[in-house]
Amino acid sequence: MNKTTLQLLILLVSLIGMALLPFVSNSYWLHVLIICFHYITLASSWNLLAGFTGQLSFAHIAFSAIGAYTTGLLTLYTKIPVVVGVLTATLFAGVVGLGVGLLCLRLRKGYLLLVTFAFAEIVRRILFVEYKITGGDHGLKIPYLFGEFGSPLNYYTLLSMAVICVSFIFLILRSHIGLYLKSIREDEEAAAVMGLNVVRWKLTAFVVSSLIAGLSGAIYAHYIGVIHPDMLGLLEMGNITAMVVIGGIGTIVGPILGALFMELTSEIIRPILTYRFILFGTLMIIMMKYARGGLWATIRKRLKLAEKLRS
Amino acid sequence: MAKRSLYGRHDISLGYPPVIPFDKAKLMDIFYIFLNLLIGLGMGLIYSLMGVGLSLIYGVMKFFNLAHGEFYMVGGYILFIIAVWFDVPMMLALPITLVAAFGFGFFAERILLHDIYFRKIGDVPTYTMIVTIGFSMVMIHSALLAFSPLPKVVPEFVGGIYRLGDLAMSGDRLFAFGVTIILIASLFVFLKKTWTGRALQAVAQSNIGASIVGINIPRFNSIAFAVSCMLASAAGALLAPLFFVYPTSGALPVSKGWIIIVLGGIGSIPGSLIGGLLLGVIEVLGSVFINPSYRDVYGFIALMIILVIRPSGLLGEKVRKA
Repeated sequence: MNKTTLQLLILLVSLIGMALLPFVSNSYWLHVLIICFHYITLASSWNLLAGFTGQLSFAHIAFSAIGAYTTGLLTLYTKIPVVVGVLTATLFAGVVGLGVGLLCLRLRKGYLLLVTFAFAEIVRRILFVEYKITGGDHGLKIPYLFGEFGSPLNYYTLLSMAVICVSFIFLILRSHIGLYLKSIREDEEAAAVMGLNVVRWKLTAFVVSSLIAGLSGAIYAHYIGVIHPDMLGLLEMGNITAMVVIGGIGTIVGPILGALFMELTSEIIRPILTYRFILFGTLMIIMMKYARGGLWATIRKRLKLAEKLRS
Repeated sequence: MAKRSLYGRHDISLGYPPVIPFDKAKLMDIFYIFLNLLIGLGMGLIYSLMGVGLSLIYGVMKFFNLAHGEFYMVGGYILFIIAVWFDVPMMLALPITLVAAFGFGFFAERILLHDIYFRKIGDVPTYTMIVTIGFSMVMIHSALLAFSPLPKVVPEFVGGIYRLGDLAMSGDRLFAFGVTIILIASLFVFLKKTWTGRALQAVAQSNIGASIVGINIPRFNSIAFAVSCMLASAAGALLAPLFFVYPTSGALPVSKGWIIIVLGGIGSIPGSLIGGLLLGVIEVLGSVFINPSYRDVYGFIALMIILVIRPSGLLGEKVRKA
């Protein structure tokens, strides 16, 4: 059995295991996993931008919130079905992403961070101030996706969302576009000299990641049933950054691993939950200083070592 | 030391300098606009301390420090510990705070960024920025753990309200303006006249050139980081009696700092000063003539417009590449 078949087999087994989980697990753990799926989607799409293209953006969480608020307000005020709302929200997040990207992807790396930070802050302020429409600090109750928390139907929806988004990102990175993006990350000027339209491909990555963020935010908002401006706080962005960095920045498996690790750890240390960010922040610093590849690279190194010892 | 009630304060609004209310009929009344402008300019000046620090770090180390707001918060808490727990008089507590903050910044750089910065593997600015994100998370939540989320009250530097005709301003605010001007002036002298300051400028101009003429770059990185931490903490300590100290108190000032350095141009200290004053004017004019609820949005809109139209700011380096 060669390596690719083995990988496919592992993937297939874990997917079947995930699909069969609702028959054995209770709704509490299903709820935890559903939140994990949301974060897996967000972290993977941020990783497409930050890890593979090298564009550090702070607006990711804003796109997710734009998706959530678009579908929430639409379904609440115009009474359209949730599915239409989610699709509209995804498209709208993509369009806003296109606009912001056109504005700022010509700037140098750090400045993108400034503009996206400013953009996220403006969106947050608007959501706070226009409280008559958005509910402001009180949040807004919006229609549910499929009834109660942790029900199998919700589980399957979020699971398929995560699987589709991650495989979409995987396919992008496997194609020639993935090579373009990585070359931009390594050296933008060299990529431009080789005849690559740098801005166009950066824009592509930005729009794809904001589309996915919008979709994830919209579906998750309908699952939770409440939307709040704190969805796009700096802390939330730090959370996603920590997931990607702890799991392994610039790898496909990394964000998945990081999101699962952080959410499940948070469940285990529930009594001291408020202080989990001290742990995660420290872990993030340690990863950046001593293990750039994160958890995934560490695990892979161990596996290779074991293989070597066996042969 | 006497603890005063929360309600005796002139502005309890968290982080926002008050806009003096007016009726539409008096819109053209020059006095109201003038008073608001004065407050706005002063706040802009204090926030430009944040901008100068960010600019200094960017100039020397070439990355954006995302933990800068937490240095502001640390300044407030150091002042709180010294002045309230150890009962040191405020005028003495301020210099102690500055020295402590300098040390804090120095060791933070040594522990966190030093070796990342000098192993030079991969994309150094991105990695350092991610480290500072982690550091800011750790600091906010450590403050939460140590001091609880409730705002801490710090005694006043100079009590009372000073009047000049119809203009009224609280003593603390005037004191803060004065100390800010002194700090920025002494930073200017430090950078222009002393050997260390000129070495910092050399490192900012060219890393390689500076190391050729015998400047120990790692050391000057630490010094730049420490000085900028000290300036942010000074802003935090000066505004502590006005806006209180709480774990996320740095979020708003640091966002003003970003706007200021973009308006003025990154890597230029006079630019930061001008950017601060400009931000004050923009905020006041926006909130007087359009809508005071959006006070913090005007600055961000100005930031986006400046970055798109004239990315180098008013005075500063070129930023557009592609």
